[in-house]
Amino acid sequence: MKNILTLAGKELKLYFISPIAYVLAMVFLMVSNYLFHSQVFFYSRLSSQAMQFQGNLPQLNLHEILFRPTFLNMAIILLLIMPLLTMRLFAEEKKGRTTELLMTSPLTITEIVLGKFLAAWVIYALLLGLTLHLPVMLSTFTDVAWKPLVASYLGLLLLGGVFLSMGLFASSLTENQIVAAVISFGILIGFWLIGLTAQTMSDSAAGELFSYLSLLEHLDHFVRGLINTRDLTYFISLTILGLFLTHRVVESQRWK
Amino acid sequence: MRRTLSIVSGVLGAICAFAGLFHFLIWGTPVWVVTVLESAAVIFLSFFLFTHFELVKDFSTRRSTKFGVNSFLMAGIFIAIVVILNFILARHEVRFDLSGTGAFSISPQTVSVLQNLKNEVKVIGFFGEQSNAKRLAKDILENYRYETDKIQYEMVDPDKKPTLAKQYGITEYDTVVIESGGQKATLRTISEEEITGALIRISRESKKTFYFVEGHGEHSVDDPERNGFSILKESLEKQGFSVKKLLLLSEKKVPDDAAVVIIGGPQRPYTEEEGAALDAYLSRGGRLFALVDPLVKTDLEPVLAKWGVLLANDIILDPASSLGGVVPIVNPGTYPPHQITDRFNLGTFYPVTRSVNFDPAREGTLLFEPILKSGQGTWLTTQVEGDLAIDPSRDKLGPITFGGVVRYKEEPPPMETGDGGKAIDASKKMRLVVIGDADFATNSAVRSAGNGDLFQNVVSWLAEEEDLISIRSQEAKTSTLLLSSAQHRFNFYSSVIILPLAILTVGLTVWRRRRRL
Repeated sequence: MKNILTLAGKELKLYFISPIAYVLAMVFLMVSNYLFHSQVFFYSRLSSQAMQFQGNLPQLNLHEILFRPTFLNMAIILLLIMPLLTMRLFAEEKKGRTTELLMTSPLTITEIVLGKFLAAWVIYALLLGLTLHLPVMLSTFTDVAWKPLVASYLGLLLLGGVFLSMGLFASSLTENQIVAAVISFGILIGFWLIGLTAQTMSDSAAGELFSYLSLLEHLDHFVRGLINTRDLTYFISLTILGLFLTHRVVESQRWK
Repeated sequence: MRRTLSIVSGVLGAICAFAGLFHFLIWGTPVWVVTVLESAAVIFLSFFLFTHFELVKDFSTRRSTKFGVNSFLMAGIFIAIVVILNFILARHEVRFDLSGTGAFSISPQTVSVLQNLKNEVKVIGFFGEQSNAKRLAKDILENYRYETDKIQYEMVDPDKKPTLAKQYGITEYDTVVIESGGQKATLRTISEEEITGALIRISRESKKTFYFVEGHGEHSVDDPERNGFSILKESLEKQGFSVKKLLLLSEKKVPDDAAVVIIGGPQRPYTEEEGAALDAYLSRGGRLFALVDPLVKTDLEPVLAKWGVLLANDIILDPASSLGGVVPIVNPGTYPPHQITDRFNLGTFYPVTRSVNFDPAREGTLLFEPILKSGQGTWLTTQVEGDLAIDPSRDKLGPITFGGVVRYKEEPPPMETGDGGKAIDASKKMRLVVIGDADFATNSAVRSAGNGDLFQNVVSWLAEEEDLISIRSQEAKTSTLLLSSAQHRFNFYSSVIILPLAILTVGLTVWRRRRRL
């Protein structure tokens, strides 16, 4: 455990001194906050319409109308930028021929994989944490339902686990960072598209399977305020699968 | 030569294998194409493997290959374990609902209904591909499935499976069929209340029976013509109710199994005995739905008056009505608040209607709740002969109540009434609904606007027990957010521009300082 934390600390430091995490944070916040505020604008227009037609108030649920689409959009943006956060984790070591150093260190492969994963996850969590100013900002103007927000952020954190473990796996496959990023794009977009396909074929067994595989389908439950073991199992097992595959690939470098 | 041949065969094998896979993935049928291609691939590849055996053998005995195969095997087994784990855990979920909207929970009443289910229940939802109702239905049914393993549901696109839709007599999208133990109910409205109600109906030993009184020129449930009630009968039966006719004159009393008695627009008067039978039925906790047209003398007036409902010889005029001056239209959102019209978002119209009033003298014991009111610009005229014209000096300006519910303020104990009918179960309470028009429910009008739905709402409200109706509608909390444009601009600029730029500045500073070191 101590080894994992030490390695994670080292990786974190690398994240903090390189510009990439900051640029990612800036782009992510700009895009997702922009989408959020245009939704706020829409919602406040709905509200003023509702005030004018009293007696026949339409359902105005802040979480459903405002936060739910925001979080789903955020998930897509994160899906697109997270490969850039994980691409260097193993690829850089390979390119810089520092893999031998890492391999001959007293760290086990499990510790190496988990350490790097943990570092990326902390950055991801910080990125998400920055968006917490949105509900806080709104809570000064209206009642914000915090419980579904807790579930939403939990879901996004777990989703991040999948993004990052797949990205880590892609990074372990190659020494070229761009190739690593592209591979993890491919994997993650695949999981996203599977969900879109599932919507058009929901009446069949394959449709059921596809919608189970869909990342956003599971995230949507969290975002709507449902925490269930089904979705937890899905996210956690995909994360572990990604980490396991990374472990296999890294280990294979020992005998290649 | 031999070497070239073997390489060619290897390439051909690979091509065949991929072609077969592509065919299977893209067209699927005919299957023999896939079989032929894959068989060819196997033959070519076997030949390739055979001719290159030495090479392959050499490769597979190398240490790295061993590890590689080992690694692949391990990954395969790991994936299998993950799949199995997901498969099992997906079927045994534990959930916590933090939504605050109740979207993922069901009421205790429904839970007890589900726990008492004896038979397997099959639910088929017929929905178009991208339907909002489908998502809602799926959420609700998923909640049910979480509580019991007796319910299985599937969603069907009626356009993709027209035969199945035909088999169940589905003519519209967003219809749900609930089937259990040979009984069936078809629902057009999807809510927890409706689905649970249908579950209760079809899991009951005997169906609830609706009696339509006959013998005075009422609209007949067997009449498929414009003036009949046959569409009503059909849709009630689809929902799992039983519909019977009641000849009060020969029966003398309302049968004990009557869930609701419906008087559908009589044209000729009732006898005193018949009136007494209806009165006795109400006294022992009966449920009566009276649709009484204007301009007709039915002799029901004294019976209804005993229960506080006053019918006068009048007609409602609606000069603004797009359907003619005597067809008042009730727009969605203008229904008086009542369980029957709660969440009812369709308009309804009533060809030739009289007012329905409540006798203030009965206010002590009885409670009258209006359910239908005509619009602001309508008039009530008592001059019903000759030309119908509005005379402001004589006529009364709307809104005019022309439909309402009568019930006890405080329920008296059910009593024996001497007509030989049993006192109805104490859980049942007297309910009387009177509407000043019957034509709105005939075959010619019932499918238009929300007329049929309104009728359904009334009778199912009358037929259900109290506990079922109390299923709360799962309404999310409504909250408004009003921002002035300055507030909106402040929020926007601070979080879309200032915060991201601040982060970038920090990043650049750190990075430049590192570079200088």
